[in-house]
Amino acid sequence: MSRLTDWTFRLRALFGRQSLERQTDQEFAFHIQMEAEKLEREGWSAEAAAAEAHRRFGSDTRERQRARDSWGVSAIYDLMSDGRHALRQMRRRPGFTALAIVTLGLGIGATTALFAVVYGLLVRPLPFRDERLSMFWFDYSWRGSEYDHIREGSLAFDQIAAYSTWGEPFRTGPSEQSRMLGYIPATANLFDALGVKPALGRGFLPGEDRLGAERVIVISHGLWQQDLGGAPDVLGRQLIIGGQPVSIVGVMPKGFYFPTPEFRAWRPLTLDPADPVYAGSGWLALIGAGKPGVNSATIDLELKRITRLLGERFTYSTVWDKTRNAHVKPMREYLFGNVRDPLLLLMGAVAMLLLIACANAAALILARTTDRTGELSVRLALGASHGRIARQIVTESLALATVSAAAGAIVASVGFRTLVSSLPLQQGFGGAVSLGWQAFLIAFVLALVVGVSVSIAPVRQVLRGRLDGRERSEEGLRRGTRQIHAGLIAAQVTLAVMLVCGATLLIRSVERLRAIDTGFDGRGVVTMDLVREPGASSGSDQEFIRAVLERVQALPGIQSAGITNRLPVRDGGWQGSVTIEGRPELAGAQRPNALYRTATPDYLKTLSMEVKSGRGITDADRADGELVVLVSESFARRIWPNESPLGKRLAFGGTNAPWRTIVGIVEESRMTNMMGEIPNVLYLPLAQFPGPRAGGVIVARTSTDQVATLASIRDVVTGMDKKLAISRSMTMETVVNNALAEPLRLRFFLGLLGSLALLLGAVGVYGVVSYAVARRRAEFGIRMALGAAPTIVLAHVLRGGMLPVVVGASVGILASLGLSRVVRGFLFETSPTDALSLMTAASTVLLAGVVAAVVPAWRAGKVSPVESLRSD
Amino acid sequence: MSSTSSDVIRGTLDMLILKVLANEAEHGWGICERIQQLSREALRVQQGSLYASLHRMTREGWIRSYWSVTANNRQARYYEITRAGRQQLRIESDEWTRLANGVALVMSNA
Repeated sequence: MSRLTDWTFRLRALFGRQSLERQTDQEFAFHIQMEAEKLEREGWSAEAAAAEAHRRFGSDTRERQRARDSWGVSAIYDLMSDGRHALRQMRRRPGFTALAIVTLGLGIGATTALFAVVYGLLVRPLPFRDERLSMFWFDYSWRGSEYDHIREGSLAFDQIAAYSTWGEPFRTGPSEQSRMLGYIPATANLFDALGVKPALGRGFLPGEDRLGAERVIVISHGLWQQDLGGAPDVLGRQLIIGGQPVSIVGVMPKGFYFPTPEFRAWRPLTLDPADPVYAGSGWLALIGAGKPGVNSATIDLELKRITRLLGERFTYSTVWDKTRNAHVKPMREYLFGNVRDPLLLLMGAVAMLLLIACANAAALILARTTDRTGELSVRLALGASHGRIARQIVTESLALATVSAAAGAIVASVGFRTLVSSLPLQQGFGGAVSLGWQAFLIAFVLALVVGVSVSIAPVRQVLRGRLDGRERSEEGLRRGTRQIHAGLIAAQVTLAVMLVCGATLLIRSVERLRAIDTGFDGRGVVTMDLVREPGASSGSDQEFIRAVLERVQALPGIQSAGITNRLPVRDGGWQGSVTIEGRPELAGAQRPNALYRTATPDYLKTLSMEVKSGRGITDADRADGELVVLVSESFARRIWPNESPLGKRLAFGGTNAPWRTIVGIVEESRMTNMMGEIPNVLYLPLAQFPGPRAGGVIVARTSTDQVATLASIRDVVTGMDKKLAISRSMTMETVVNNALAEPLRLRFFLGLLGSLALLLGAVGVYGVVSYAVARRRAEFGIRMALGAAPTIVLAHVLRGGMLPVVVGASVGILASLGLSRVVRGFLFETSPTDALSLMTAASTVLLAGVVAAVVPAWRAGKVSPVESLRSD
Repeated sequence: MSSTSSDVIRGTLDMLILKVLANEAEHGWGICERIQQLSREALRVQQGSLYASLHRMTREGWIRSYWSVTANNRQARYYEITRAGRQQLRIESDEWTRLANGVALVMSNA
């Protein structure tokens, strides 16, 4: 047979169905007419002939159906007719439909969006050879000398590369405005280790990380496109970085990043044994590209070899002992380990929401099916098979789920950016996750699964044949339905209690976090980073800083302004050892450590950090004056428990550091983070401790609009010198919120999911109770006619409606207790079995259940006996 | 209508239709008449089910249909056999002959 005619026929049957049916009708009519005429010729009366012709032809409808079946497309016709029927049903019950679609749409949308994030961060391959790439212990703490000593002859690694992170002002041309460029200084074998080649030009040549090599740089695709306009002659062009011309030799492929997208260029670092940094500063991170098929035993052996090499050559203090606890971490875990747990927690929560939504939709569809018992019985009596009816219910559920998936896709697209921007991702990673076709595939698959699963209960009821004999079975069906309903409600309530409980715990935890005293007042304070390129025209560093502060302070609304090297709760910093005058030198770990912050005179005042005793930093503390220092309260207490440190002297900043006189004690404040221990802090006048880079972090307290102030500070400062780069301008409140970001965001999402769960749970209880009330109107009418008080009826309905709620809430509390270990890691000073949280969660859900049940129950109490009897 | 006529044996209707159409194009009712006539009223086509067969064979590409006017000027759908249909007819009649011979052999020797 010919496939072609077959398929053209089928296509015609599908798309030209009407014409085909018309022709068939015409053909049948012709046949019957011919037969009748023949009979008339044989002597039948016209009337009898017509009837006999019809009889001989057989059932018109059946024959038409058989002809249609022979077209080979009847399954599709059925589907189409079921689908049309489903849509008609949906239109006929807009309230029910909207409820189900909103419920399922939210569940599917939230799951889809979160899936896209999880996929992007935890599943999708990184843009470098990630599965064989691992990070060495002591990240960003290796010295060039250590690296050179261990880099060669590895058993387990093809390449060991070293890199660090750096930021400098850069310009694309001599007359352009300076901007900050975050880049990666790395050893020449970096791209070999990553297993990635530039899309244009070349990577680093061997030896380019040694003294005397040409200054070269490889840039990201984004830098090329955005800052250089995608110029085709990009190779060989020069960027001015930190005042020095650097030649572009390569452009990386689109989508490449390493280690995070915030770094947009890679350049060889210089390993120069003559440089004091080479043996003096630990600032490098080491990565190893594992040899193919290498196992953990070989890696362990290799790490033993490396630590032996290190131990032979270097001596370490206990804190920095690299020969101990040597280990490597897969790169993905190193980069995303911190987001995996919160993501999985959210994923679990969203899955619960989706389950609630499914239970809700299943209950609604079940109620609908029971309402249609009459209709379905008639259809069964007319010869529809049980299978056909079951298929119809499934089609209806699928239609509902598909529309919901479309709604969910909209929810996911709208919510996705919000979700990404509010996850504790490192800067620039927002671009690394996207809502791709995989996410929509997931939405579609979810819709199919949801559609089938919500129809299981109603289909089971139908297939049990309860619909057959109407009188007897309707009551049976209703009883079965009631049990399933109760089960679905209990399940919903259980999940809702768990979600609300998690949300409550996080809310309480965040309250505790909010209550942390930072020791400074960030309200009304704005901040930005400022870096000046070496060789800028605006005078010496000190003159420049003074000029900047003068201009900023002259802006309208500015109350005070200062400059520091690093911001509290945002920027970390190195701790250095401190020597106290008149005390014996302590060895290694026992020597006191401190973090240092440089400050201009008004810096402490701007952040409302109080000088508890002594004095603050003044304009008189110049480079050529007496060297002074302020210490933090806890440092003063630790070192001088019984006396005042004022007037004592200490030395800080390496060997042969000069003595500095302590002139003040500063209020304790949060430094590197919001939680954890507060380190010892020294405050040094910026003029007396200038630091390696010209610039710092401006802080300014304003009484006017903060965003406008940031803009005007930017204008003033960039107007002074084109060789100034500004970055990270934000309000101090943002800085604090960012420090709390993860718990805040988790609280936000769990709070949102918890509220949705509460809402859906209440909707479910309301729907089921009012359904039961509607079904039993007549019964209530009779009861009240026989003298039952309305309150009794009300109590009866409430009892029936609340029983599954109470059961669900109890199970929910137990389940929350069981899952307490999961949330423990996300809480701050809050017990995961916190009784108040559990009780709050359970009673909120119970209350929602009572409200949802009372409204229809109250309506039942108001049923007028006469009216209710008439209606049935 | 004869009480001695029997329904067309299941599975042979296609062959009979093709055989009729191999002579000339015909409409549905005409095919019924021809089969009854040719079998001397021994065979009777279930009138309605004829069309399921006709439509299926159209799909298979063994016959094709066109609308035309009958002798007494009525619109009717005519079916005609295609080359694939003739081939199919050959296959089916060979098969039928083999089957009929087999049945005949069994019946004559039993």
